[in-house]
Amino acid sequence: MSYYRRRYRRRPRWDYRPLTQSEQLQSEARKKATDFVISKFRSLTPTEFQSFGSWYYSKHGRSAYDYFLKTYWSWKQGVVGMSGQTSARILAGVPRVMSRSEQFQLLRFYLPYFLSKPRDKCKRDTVDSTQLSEFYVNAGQTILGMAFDLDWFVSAVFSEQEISTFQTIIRYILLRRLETSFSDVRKDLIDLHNTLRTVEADVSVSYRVNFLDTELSVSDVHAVAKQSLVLTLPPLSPEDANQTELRSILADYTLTDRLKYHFASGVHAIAINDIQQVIAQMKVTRKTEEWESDTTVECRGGIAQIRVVKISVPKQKLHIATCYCKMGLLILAFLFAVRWASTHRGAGGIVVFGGFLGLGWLIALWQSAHESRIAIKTYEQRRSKVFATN
Amino acid sequence: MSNEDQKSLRRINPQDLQNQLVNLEGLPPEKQLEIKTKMAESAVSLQADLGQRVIKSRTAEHDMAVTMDHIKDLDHNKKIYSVNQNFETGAGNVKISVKGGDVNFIIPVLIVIGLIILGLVLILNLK
Repeated sequence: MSYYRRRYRRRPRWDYRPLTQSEQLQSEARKKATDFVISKFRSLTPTEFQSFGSWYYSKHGRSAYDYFLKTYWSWKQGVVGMSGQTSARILAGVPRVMSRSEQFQLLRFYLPYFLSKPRDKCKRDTVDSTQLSEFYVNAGQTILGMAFDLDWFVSAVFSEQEISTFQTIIRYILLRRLETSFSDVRKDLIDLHNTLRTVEADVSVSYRVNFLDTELSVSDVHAVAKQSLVLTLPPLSPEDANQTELRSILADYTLTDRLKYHFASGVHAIAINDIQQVIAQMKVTRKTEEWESDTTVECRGGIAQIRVVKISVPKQKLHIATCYCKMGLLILAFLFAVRWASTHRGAGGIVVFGGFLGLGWLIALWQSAHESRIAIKTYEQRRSKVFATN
Repeated sequence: MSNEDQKSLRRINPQDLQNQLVNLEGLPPEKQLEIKTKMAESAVSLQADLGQRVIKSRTAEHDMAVTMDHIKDLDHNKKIYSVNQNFETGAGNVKISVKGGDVNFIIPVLIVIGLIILGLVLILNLK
């Protein structure tokens, strides 16, 4: 008998979850900032080297400093790899000897991550278009309460005031983008409504808001047109405005956004033109033709998917008539068979058997005709609306 | 959001803030030049992208018209057809499906003739 029981190590359960875009950008930002610091460490000027050396000595003592002096050239040439402890010490020390613009460059690495955060934090599966402004107001409040935390080695070189200003600038850029997104989405939906309102077909529209990565259920555009958005944000103080580097970040992003807004207007015009072309082609189809089109277009504030279905009503009516004719024929045939069976002995069984088969067929025909009637009715109802919801 | 937070917040007139802060003239010349150069480069690349989108849109428009002409020909030739086409446009893509040319109209005619014949047979038989 064995005293040892075979033990199986309990494996941890990994719940696989793909990284969100914001998480990917966070890891990219961290990697870029770390690589930037390490590359700066490898190319320190003599003055910076001296300054870093004296900080290193005062912080980590004589022996660590001697080791640093001895190994620096090997680290620089990549002959010797750095330990985790040394890397952490370099990350802590090198940003202190960087120039001011280099330190702000570290901040810039985190901007794409911070600016993508609302996509994760404010995202919802579906929002009804009638609650658009409420959704945006909630997103605005989420942005105001959002934390924009920098990595420890980056935040160590900035004052609290600078970090606070930086965060205010990010909030300002995000809230401006939110405001623009709301106005864009509103204009998009109104333009789509105006383009599609005269279409004599079943039209359904789904719209995905780019900035908040959320699907809009579009039903009532008049309700959207009545909505407006008022956002508030903490103001920047005049002292903040004196910080050249932070101001240049604000100017850079605000002007780029403005430029992109003009570009998006051009793309939107192309999108509307594309939709009009599809509708024009649909209008030239005959009554006996059935049309289905799925159009995906990039508008100002999001991506719209427009489905246009035109069924041939005369064809459906013809199908119903055919079904009824077949049913009539079947009933007549059955009556004829009954008449025939009454004059022939032993034919009753065959007639009963045939009757059951005929009944099955009759039911199938009736069902097919009924489905066509329902299809026509549903189509007419959906056709009367500009945007039908599924 | 608490009342205190609400009080500390004020409506920002974007124009005011932009005039104050998004004002390149307040920045050092090298920063101004850097931002202006970046803007110019972005404007050129966005403009080029827009131009390409317009070309794509025009091509898709032409292709769609050609496909519809083809469908019209099929209809004239009394053929049953189902045409599925994808077009890449300047702002996205379009999938079109057209079905038509059904010659099933002959079926009810045949059925009516059948009914008449059957009815006649039945009447004759009953007599």
